[in-house]
Amino acid sequence: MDNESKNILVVDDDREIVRAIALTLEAEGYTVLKAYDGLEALDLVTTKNIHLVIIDVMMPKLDGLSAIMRIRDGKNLPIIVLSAKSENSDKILGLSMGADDYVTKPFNPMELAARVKSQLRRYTSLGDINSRGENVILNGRLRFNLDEHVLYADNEPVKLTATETKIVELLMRNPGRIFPAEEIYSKIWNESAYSTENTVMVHIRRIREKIEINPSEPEYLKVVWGIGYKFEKH
Amino acid sequence: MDTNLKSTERPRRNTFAGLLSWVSLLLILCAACCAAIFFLMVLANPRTLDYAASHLQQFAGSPSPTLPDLEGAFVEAKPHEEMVYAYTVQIISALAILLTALVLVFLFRQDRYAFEEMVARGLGRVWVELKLAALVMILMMCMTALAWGSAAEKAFGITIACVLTVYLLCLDVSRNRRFFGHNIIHSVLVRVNDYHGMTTFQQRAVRRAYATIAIVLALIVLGTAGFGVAMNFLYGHEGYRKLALAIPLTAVVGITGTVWWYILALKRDLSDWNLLMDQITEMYGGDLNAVNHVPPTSNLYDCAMQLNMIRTGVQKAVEEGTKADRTKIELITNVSHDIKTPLTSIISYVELLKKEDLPPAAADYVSTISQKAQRLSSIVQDVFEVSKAATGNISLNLDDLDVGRLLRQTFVEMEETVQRSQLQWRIDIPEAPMLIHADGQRLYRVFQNLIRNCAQYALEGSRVYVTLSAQAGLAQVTVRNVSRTEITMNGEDLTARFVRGDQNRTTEGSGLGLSIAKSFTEACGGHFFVRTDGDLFIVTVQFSLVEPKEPALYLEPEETASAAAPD
Repeated sequence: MDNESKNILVVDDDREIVRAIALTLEAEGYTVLKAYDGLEALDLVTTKNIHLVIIDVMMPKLDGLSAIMRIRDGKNLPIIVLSAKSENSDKILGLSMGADDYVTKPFNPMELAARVKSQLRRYTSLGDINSRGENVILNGRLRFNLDEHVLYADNEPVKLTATETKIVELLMRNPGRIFPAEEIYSKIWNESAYSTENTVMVHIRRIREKIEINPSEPEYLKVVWGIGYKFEKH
Repeated sequence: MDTNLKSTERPRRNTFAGLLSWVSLLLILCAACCAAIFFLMVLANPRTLDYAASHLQQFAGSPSPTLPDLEGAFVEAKPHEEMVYAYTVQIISALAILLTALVLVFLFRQDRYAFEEMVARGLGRVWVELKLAALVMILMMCMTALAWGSAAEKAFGITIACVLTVYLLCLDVSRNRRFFGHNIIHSVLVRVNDYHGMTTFQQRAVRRAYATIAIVLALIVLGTAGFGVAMNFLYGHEGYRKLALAIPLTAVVGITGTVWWYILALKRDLSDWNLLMDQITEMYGGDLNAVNHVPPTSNLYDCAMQLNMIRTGVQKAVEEGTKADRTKIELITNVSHDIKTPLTSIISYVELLKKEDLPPAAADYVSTISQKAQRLSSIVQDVFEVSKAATGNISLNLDDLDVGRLLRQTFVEMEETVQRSQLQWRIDIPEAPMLIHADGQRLYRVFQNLIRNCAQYALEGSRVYVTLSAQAGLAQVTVRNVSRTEITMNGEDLTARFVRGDQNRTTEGSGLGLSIAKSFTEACGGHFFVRTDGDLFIVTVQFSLVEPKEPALYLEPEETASAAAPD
């Protein structure tokens, strides 16, 4: 892949963190631009050709959320928010301000790199998918091709077994709906069984490991505790 | 208040027996004294004996032929047998009575002591002035008694009166310490002192009561006296009847008015009390800002004002408490933020270091740093969460969920931990749904922590029992395991923050697991208990069961039917 041509802007008032992120991303082959406050970031976004922004929330001069809003005014480019706040309300606020992803500190740099990759793929490939006119279900970084029965994550096919593919298709066709294990079992295996929780759950876990960036904090395939499973709409 | 009695602690005695014994004692005393006086009289005048004998006959009612002319023929001789017979009967009956009295005195002496004590206590309550007045009156009565009656009556009557008086006096003086101290002046002073120590409300009530009594008494006295004066001095004057009737009539009207005024005042106080109590009830019911309806003219206005001041104090305390809680949360948020930022750098550079070509020893050190940095990161997050939960600052997503299903999901999710744990897991979760109302995500954290706890602290190769049961409207999850190290703390201490089973803290873990589990359970409205029994460690999580809103909440009808069948 030609990561060379991708310019990533990293914004954080902590210079060491910026440097660490830059080193990690440069190892992946991206070109990294650095900024240490919101105003500097806005400057670079307008003057340079930036493909993705990684931005901290708490910064001097102009805070991250305001900067995101200003960037969103003119440009449609993926933005990943970094924040030390881990509350759900903070995440929702960040995402509603126009961020595409939310990473809480302290984060694993490899996970951040994976998210950067995912965002860039979606950003660059979105156009041609729509033009191809395929029969697909789109959900965030996931795309399920109904003709081929293949799931694509970030434009790359995911290797799923036949049963797993069926489960993914069932859940992706009904995003947001909660499926109890019995229902998934009876629909996929076409038989009713008494103790099905484990069978279904094990499959769900395997799927999650294949499609989620961080399987321990799933974004798509979620457990609704004490009720069932659902596919989150993105 | 009055500590006149030397001893008040005595077992209860029969009062009637005491009274009987006491009266018997008095009888014996009187008899003895009378006998002594009689003996003296006989010594002084031997003829007294004959006189007494005739009186005795008269007293006993025995037919005496000499009765009609007894007075005149005092010295007349009587048949000797008759005399002897009469004497014998009288003496024997007197002796029998005395003997019975003596027996009673001894038989019930314990009861008598108690009764005497009671009498003494009663005497102690009487003012010394009244006692002296009674003494003087008795003396005067004795003096008057000298003027009439026969010599014997005088002698015996005065003797009996004197004996009784002296006895009571001795009893009083011997039993009551403050014989002279308890007088009218002292009592008045005590009352005045009490009055000064009373609250304004009590003073007013007392003043009102005394004023009413005084006015009523004065009116009665004036009315009676006026009536008497009018009847006696104006007798015969024109219209004296009308005047004589008008005076008591006025008095009666005055008394009625006074009593009416007193009742009205009491009623007003009562209604003010009601207002005050209403306010207290409202405030107790949670409305701290309940309005004060007691009018400023009321006797209870002071009370109402004090209640208002208490309210202000409570409000201030509550506000300060909330503020302190908020400050605490802010502090923890800031601290955890300040820790997370450098931690991010550490983790990032450690990851970069890992990629470098390091000598094996260095690579080992780096992996240790990496592990510890991750642990620090999870501790920071745990501290943050537990402090938020402990101060009730977490947002909950409450829903009706099946706790059995949640447990099964948790076990599948934590399969890796369970399999790596070297423990034998005995899991007993009934298939039948048990619905509770809780936040699934938080409850998952609760069970996740409990399972991790077992994996970490249970004895290798031992069995862990996880059971779910429903009883008395409660869904109860019990986790039992045998601890690897000796448990030296009780259950309560183990749920305290940062406490760990192993005191030297060599194992992994933040020491917050049980604390988080407890906080989250309680935040969701459940109960969390930790019990230890030797090395056995038992955690119980309880939630109230809820009735399913619809029988098939998330199952389609045919699936419900098939799920109900065991095959």
